[in-house]
Order: sequence, then structure tokens, then C-alpha cells
Amino acid sequence: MSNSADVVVLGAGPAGYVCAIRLAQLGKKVTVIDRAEVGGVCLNRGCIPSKALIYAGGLYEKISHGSEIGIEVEGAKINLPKLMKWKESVVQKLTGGVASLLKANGCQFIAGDAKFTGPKILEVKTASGIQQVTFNQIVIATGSRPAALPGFEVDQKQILDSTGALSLQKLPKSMLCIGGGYIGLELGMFYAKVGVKVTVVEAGPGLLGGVDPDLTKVVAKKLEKLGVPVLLKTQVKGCKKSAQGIEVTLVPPGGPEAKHEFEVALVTIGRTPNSENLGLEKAGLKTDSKGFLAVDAQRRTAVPHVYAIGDIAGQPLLAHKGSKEGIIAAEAMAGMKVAYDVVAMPAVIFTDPEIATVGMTEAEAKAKDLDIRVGIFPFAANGRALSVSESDGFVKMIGDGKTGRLLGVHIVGVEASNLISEAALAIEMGANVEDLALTVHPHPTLPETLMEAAEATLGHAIHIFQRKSSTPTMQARSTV
Amino acid sequence: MQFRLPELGEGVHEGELVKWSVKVGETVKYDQPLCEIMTDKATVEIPSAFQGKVGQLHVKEGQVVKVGELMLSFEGTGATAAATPTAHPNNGSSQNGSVSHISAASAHLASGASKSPVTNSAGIQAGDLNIATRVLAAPSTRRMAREMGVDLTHVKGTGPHGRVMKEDVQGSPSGATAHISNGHGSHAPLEKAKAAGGENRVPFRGLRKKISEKMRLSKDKAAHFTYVEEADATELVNLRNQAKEIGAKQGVKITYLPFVMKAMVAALRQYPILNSTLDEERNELVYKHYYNIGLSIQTEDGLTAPVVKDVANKSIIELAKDIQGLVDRARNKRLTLDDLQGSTITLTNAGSIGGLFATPVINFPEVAILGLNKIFRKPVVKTVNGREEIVIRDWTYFSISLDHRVVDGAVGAEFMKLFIQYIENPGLLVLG
Repeated sequence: MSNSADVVVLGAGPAGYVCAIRLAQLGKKVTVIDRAEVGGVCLNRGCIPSKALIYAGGLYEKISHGSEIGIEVEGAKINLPKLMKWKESVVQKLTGGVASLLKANGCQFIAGDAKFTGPKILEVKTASGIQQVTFNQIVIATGSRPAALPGFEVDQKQILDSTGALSLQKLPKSMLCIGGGYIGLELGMFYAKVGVKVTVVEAGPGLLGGVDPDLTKVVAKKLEKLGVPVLLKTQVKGCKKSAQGIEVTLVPPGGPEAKHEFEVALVTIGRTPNSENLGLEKAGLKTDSKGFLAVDAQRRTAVPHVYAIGDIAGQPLLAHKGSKEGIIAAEAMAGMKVAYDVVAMPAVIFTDPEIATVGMTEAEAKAKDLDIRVGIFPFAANGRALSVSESDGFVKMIGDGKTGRLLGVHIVGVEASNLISEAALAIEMGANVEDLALTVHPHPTLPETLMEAAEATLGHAIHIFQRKSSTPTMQARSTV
Repeated sequence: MQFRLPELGEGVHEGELVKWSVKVGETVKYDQPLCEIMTDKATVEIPSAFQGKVGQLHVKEGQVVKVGELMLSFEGTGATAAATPTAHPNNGSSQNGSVSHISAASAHLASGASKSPVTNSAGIQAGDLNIATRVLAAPSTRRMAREMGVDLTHVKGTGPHGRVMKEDVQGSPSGATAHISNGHGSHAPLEKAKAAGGENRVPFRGLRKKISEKMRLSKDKAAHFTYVEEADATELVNLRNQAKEIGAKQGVKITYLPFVMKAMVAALRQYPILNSTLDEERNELVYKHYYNIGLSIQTEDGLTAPVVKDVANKSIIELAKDIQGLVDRARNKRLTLDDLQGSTITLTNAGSIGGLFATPVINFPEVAILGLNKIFRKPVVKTVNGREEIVIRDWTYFSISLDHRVVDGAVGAEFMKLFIQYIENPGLLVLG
């Protein structure tokens, strides 16, 4: 059996399916191939199911501590199989939606394992046999998977990766999260909230590498409150499984190694691009040493008819980055003059409290020798945050002292993920810090914290007291 | 403290502000270039007569400024801290009120000095991805610019803080007209998506506009005719090759041009009408007894014709030095008004690119322009010791365009005959 398409999109995750739909909108005959289901990791085993669980964990915590605000509930408990079923229904709704969108746009979908057998031909192994698919152009969007840790082979029973941790049917008594990145902390905090004794171990000097350490501190404090020990600069050195659980050897900094017992371990040490077993060499493609494909501003690889988008095209490994690349690549393939020129790539972390960032960090701006102004506004001074009993965290804003331009916004606090888009828009528009300060924000809402942080950057926030001479302030009316 | 446009030269009353070289808030030193002004003759840099911090710029790029008009205020003169200086164009000068609308319109056409914003459409790039430094423009504007092949770094932004607006990218005359009629503020309608391949509009201004006006004037006024003659340049090539070595020792690059200029002068002495102009107002022919030869030079921005002065009284080496200096200054946009004034006849060199010969357009109000074309090796029939032989010679064509109102064909032909005699026997030039 054979099949021909204008464009093949290999991978139906948030990069691939978005690309396929835009290609179809632009009149291309599109075939989408994925080895599993549409939606990719994000919808099936990543962003969406984890957010469902995290929501449930937060709600359970609030109910359990409702007496503070006069809500007294006794006997609240987690029914994990039911929670997982609800989570699954959320996933089903979304993936079903994507499948019908692909269909409505006339994209053909093939479920199967594909590999190149030539520059313009794929061999696809499906449930009903092997078929050839020929094409003029192809987009590789095969994504990534959890990175493996030698000595900790994932069995999804005692040693889990993120996929396994999203579908446990029984709460373990204890859990070791190996890796203090965002996936480990998001899932670790969920399990800690529903009663699991969680420990986080991280080889590096801090949690959430790359994030402004001021923000991370707020999350670390919450971990402490949840009773989650965080072992930094600590190596894991193998484990021994038994019927009760696993015995993990930990090597603290400078100290002697020690054995610790946990019921399960969750390995979240990063992600690896899915670039093996695709026969890329048959298409004339080569990955870099980490398995990523190099692309140009239009997401074209070294082979002109082959594009790569999403995780396989390199950092940052974020769903929305992949979707953006999908649109750029689709339009480029249709002959439009487009380029990936994003400067404001927001990142959101669903810890408690949430973290959301966009633009330059304070450290990056300093490394560029920019004369910056930093304004901080705490959620504790925001009426809305107080009235939903979520006063931890702050908004940190970074402006260019010479031009007044907004360079970066970093938020740790309630609903940070829903607050960051305003900042992303502002940065892409080239807004000045003053523009945020001058824009009326409705009261009482959380986004007022952005307006106030902008005012703080300029040296005159209303709802916190700023000493006149404490920091050099930005000129109120700076001109470029 | 205020800075007004100083006197630019005799007979020059106004100029177009091509580019500001300073920004509001910048501290300027004495003699530092403030801006570039383009007059009928040349684009000149205007140095600062003061030092201090720039408070306000009163004139927009693209605007025509009269001598004595207020251009810039230094801080401490009560200049208000407007977000953009254009918000208060009526500060001080009486001229400003009347020209502000025109300036708004032409600012929409503006595209930096005279550089074209068009870039190669192949290899589409993401551009500057530094938040702190990239051109201020909305994502939709960036997308449109990319579709049109416009490099945003070459577009003059008219929005707040120099933000590049969609209208700036479009730079279409229709958009600009709309702005004149309603003054300010409104958005020109979005251009409909163009067919594949598309088209783009580039502002026609600066040097390009000046060339267009001068060429039109010349063709409207002068009654052009062109005469072409061939010449054996073998002796000239030999002589120049010897001169080249001597020049190289003195650090001077000797081209054919000084010899051609000398031959022109020798022939002009016999046919002075080619070195004249017609004063139409007084119905008089003005014969020039000095020989200043304009030299056409192609620059990045367009054609310019600086002048080699007093050719008759200069040696080949001196002429070569003068030419070298003019070419350097033309390429570096450092020509002065003096460099561009006073030519009596013009020489254009089309030979460096190729072609048989050109029919040049007269540098009006002059009456003649001589074209030097490529010199090439060619077999020719020559009589040697009474016998005809085919020999290889260095060959070339000279073309001359003349204003038939003043110079008749026969006179032009006679001039060329004599001129070519000097070219073929350059040794005769020492007699001059």
C-alpha cells in the first residue's frame, strides 16, 4: 500500500498538529503520522494531565485547610483511581478535539512507526501492515521523552518517569523525586499535598535551574511547609529494589554516602529528543551530539525540503514554542516570507506558587552590560491576592535604564501562569516599563501587580513605600 | 541655546535634512557632526557650533530647512520634555508651523538617509533578537515588513519613541497623501495582500530625486546629439603604464583620466565653444577661459559629478592626486560643496563596466560631455613601411554628447578629430 502527500507531518503533538492544520489552511495536502495518539506528550502524558492533577491537589489542600477561613470539612480524602479517571476524561476531550480538527481540515492521519527509506519516502509500520508514504516536503515533529538515568530503569511501578507518575492507581507512602527541575517539583508537590512523604534530590546547587533564584526561594519555602526535604548538590548512586520499595544510595556534598528507603522513585532529570530510529541519515540529516536537529529561522533543516519543529528542533522544550514553530514552518513551506523572531518566549511552572517568566532575567541583562532598573511588587500588597488567601510571591520587573524598554518580567505567585501573557505581549510590542504603568488595570485583580511592579521600577509604586534614594530609578519619560 | 541652519554656500538658501547624527539627550561636542543636509549641489555634514546636551530636535528627517531656521535646541533653553519632539513642532520657529504637515507626510516616506530598505528576499532572517536593542515594532508590523522584504533597521519610525508603524513600512505615496489631508493620527488602510512575488515601494528622494530632476532638466533644455569616433590608444596605454610605475612610487594611482583630461583641454583651446554655456536670459554665450572638468562617479547612493579644477595648469601627477581625492570623498560621502561646483565640461567613464560606447546626458548648463569607453585589444590594418599589415592595437571609442543649440555637428566632429590626435599621440600633450 502506498500513499502520497504534499507534506508529511511526522508527529501529532502540539508542534505537529498545529503545523498540519495551518498547512491545510494554506491549501496543502497533508498526512500526519504518529506512532501513538494525536496530541503528543503534552496532551496525553504531560502538560494537560499534570495540570488536572495539580488542580486537584491544590483543591484538596484548600479543603483540608479551609478552617482558617471558616470552612470546616471533615474526612476529605483522595480517591486516586477516580481522580485519574477524571484526568483521563479531560485528556480524552482534548485529544478528541484535536483529532476532529485534523479531520475537518482534511488532514489524513496514520498511526504507525515511520522511518525514512529515502529523502522523500517514509516506511510506516501500522497495525494493518507496512505502507510507503511519499511526499514533497516533510516536517519532523517527533518530540522528546523522559531522559533515562542509568541504574534507575523505569518500570512504572517502583521506578517511575513522568508518564508513570501521571497514572498511579495507589498513593505510595513515600516518593523520591530525582531531579529538582520543573517536572519533578510539579509532580512532587502534588504528591506531597495528597499525603505522600516526598523527598527531592538535586545534583545541582539549586532547584529549577535557569530560573531567577529569588523566585525559586518562594517555592522552596512552600516545599519546606509541605514537609518536603530538598537535598541539593546530592548525587544518586544506584538503588536496590525489594518487595517494600527501593533502597537508594545518596551521596550528599562532601559527606559519606547513605542508603535511604522509599516506596517509589520518580526520575525527572530532563528530556531526550526522539531522533533515533527515524532513518534520518536516509534523508541526509544528522543530529547534533544531543540528538537535536539544527534549523534556520524558518525551521528548515540542512536538507531544504525537510523542516523540524518542537522539541527535536532544540531548546526550549516547550509546547507553545513548538506550536509557534509549527505555524512558521507551515507558512514557510507555503512560500510565505516568515521567520521565527520571537524574543518573548514565556515559560510557566506549575509549582505552588506558580512561576512564570518572560524576557531577560536580571542576570542575563547584567551579563549584557545593560544599565537596568528592577522593580518588585509583592502579592501581599495586592487586594485580590489577599482575598483569595494567596499572598506568597511577587512580580519582578526589569527595565532598561537608558531606553525605558521592558526587558523581562518574572512572577512567582498565585496564577502567575495566567499573568505572564500581558508581559509577553508588552515585550513583543517593544513596550516601555512606563507603558505598563500607564495602562489602567482593573481593581481588584491580580494583574494590578504588574502595573505596580512597573511603577516600582520607575520608583513610585503606590501600594508599597519606596525610599527616594534607595535605588537609581528610571527616568519617567525616557526617550529612545 | 539654539542651533539654526548656517549659511551653506553661495546661492544656497535651503536644504533637505537627510539625517540627524545626534539624538535627544545626547551630549554633543564642539565640531561634532549634527546632521546631514542635502542641497542642490551636495550632501554636507553640519558640525555643531556649540557643546551641550541636545534638548529638542525641531526638524524631522526629510524636511526642507531654510538657512537660519531653528533646527535644534540645547538643554537649558526651556525645551519641554515631550516624548517625541514632533509633538510640539511649533516651538520657536515661524517656519515650523507651515511645514509640519509636509514633514509628517514625508516622514512616512522616509527610510533612513538614502539607503534603500529593500533587502534580498532569499534567506529570510529572524533579525535582531535582543529585546534591548531590536527595532521598536509590533509583531504584525514585523511580519508585514518581512513579507515586503523591508529591513526594519532601515525604516524611520514615526511612532512614539521612534516606533516603526505599519504606515512607515508601507511608505506608499497614497498613505502619505492621506496623512496630509487629515493632518495626523489616522491609520492608512492596510495594503491588500499582493500576488506571489509581490512588489514594494521605496521612497524616491535624496540624491536619486536630485539626479532625476537634473537629468530631466538637461534633456528638456539641451538639444542633445551624440558623435562617436574610434581611436588607437596603444601609445596612451604605453605612456600610462610607464606613468603608473612612477606614480606608484609616489603613492599616486595614475589612471587614463588625467591624460584624457589633458587632451580635452588641448582640443578645447582650439574649439572654445565646447567650454561655454548659454545664458538664455541675456541671450549671451559665456566662454570660460578656465578648464574645470566634472567627473562622473557612481556611488552607492547614485551618480555624482565632483570637479577637477584648473586642469590646464596641473601636471598629470597633480591631476591624478585630485581625482583620487574626489573619488575617495565621493565614496565616503565626504564631498564638500566646493568639490561639486564650477565645472565647465564633464567627463564620464563608462569603460570600466564594458559596452562599446555610451551616449551620455549633458551636465546642464554645460554644452558638452565626453564619454571614455573601454580600451580593448583589436586586430587592425596598419601601413608599415608602405605595406599593409594586420597588427594588434589597443583600441577604444570616444563618444561626445553636445547641445546642438550651441555646438553644430561639424564643430563637434572637428573637436573630436583634434582630441583623438592627442590621444593617439600623447607625446604632443607636452607641447600644450
